[in-house]
Amino acid sequence: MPPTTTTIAARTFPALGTFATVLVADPDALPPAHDLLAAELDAVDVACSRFRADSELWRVNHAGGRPIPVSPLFAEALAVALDAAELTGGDVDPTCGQSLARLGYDRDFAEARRRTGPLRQPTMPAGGWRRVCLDPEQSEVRVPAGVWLDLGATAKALAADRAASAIQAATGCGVLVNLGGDIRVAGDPPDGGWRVGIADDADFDASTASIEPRQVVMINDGGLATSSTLGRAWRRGGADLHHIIEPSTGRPARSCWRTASVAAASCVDANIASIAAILRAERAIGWLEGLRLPARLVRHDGTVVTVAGWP
Amino acid sequence: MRDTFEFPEEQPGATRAAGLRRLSRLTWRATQLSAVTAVGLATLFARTAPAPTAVGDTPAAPAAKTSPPAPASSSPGKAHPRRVRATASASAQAAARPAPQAGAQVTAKASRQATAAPSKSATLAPPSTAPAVAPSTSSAPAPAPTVSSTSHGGG
Repeated sequence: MPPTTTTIAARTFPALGTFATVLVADPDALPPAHDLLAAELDAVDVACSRFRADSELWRVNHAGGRPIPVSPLFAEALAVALDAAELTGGDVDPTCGQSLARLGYDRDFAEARRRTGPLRQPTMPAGGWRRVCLDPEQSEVRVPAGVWLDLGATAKALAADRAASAIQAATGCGVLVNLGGDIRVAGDPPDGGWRVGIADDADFDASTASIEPRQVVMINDGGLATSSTLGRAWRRGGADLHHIIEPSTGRPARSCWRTASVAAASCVDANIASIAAILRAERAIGWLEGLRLPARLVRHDGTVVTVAGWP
Repeated sequence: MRDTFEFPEEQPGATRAAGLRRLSRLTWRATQLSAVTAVGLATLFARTAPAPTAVGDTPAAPAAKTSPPAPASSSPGKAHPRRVRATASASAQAAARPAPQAGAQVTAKASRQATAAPSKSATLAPPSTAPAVAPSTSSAPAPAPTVSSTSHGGG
């Protein structure tokens, strides 16, 4: 493979409680690319943050079962989340908001992980994604009282997809958007493709995006995402917890995988598949093979299983 | 005279047999016609099934699987490509999977029935090209990292 000759410009900045990076194949395109990405992230944050009292998600979750008018962006984010639930047989359920809150993830993660005392409330299963009513034509959402949505499983990936498409359309050059590890590329890639480092341990510093990759791969199109039981883990009352929730119990999933990295046609699809792979444990191998989704699965002892053509 | 005499004796049996044969044929024809009608009506209803229907207190508005409006000006990206879901497929999946609550099933069913969207493959799509091993060159830029980290939500 020829060495990389394209000049790539990059910028990283904090966003959505993690980092955001944009890489462009044309250095002149970096300023507008950054501006577009920042605008997209601001819009997603206002629409989908679970912790902002002025967000649309907050209003929907606290509406007491009443229909709430929402923006097209929120409607799209919720539609994607409901898609995820349907495509995974309910494994990736957007109604896990109460489950996460009761596990102590009820505020920004950096703050939430500092609290280590015992949990005050029992765990709570997901509220049931089929009970969520979204009317895109009326731009209205109704969630049963007591059910809290959490769009964290798909909103960031959706933002990566949207931002990459917008940047490519505006600048005409190849672009890679990386939102805390949710990656989407668009346009012509640099020679050989975009280099992506795969990490699968808890030492990754999300604030600086520093990484000691276990593997470096090249991608030319689509998205790539990683889900792990290690990346966002915390302790409460002596129990180790993480953010990938088993909807039927409301508890952190017990899986044979500690990390799953998946490549797909979009970042949303990659992220849905990587989360579902953790939740499906051994069944994930056949499932990913059937969908022809290249994946890298890591067991708790570090053993790596590759699927569907992952190098 | 004999013929006319004998005829009445033979006529009832022959008439009865002919009538029974005719009745049998009519019954068989009616059965065939019923079957054809049933198949025809079933086909017709199957083709026109996605008409909006309200169930219970659920709004008869389109559910999450229809094309959303264009993004707001504050959100520059394009709408995500997979917004459309096949009604029949969704209904089948909804019927196949256990819902958390009975009420939930009704709501979901109503939402799916209200979706009058064209069919589209509902699956997670692979990339056009699979990832490849990166060459180890000293001049290569640092790789973009992918590792689990969530935004303000979970997941």
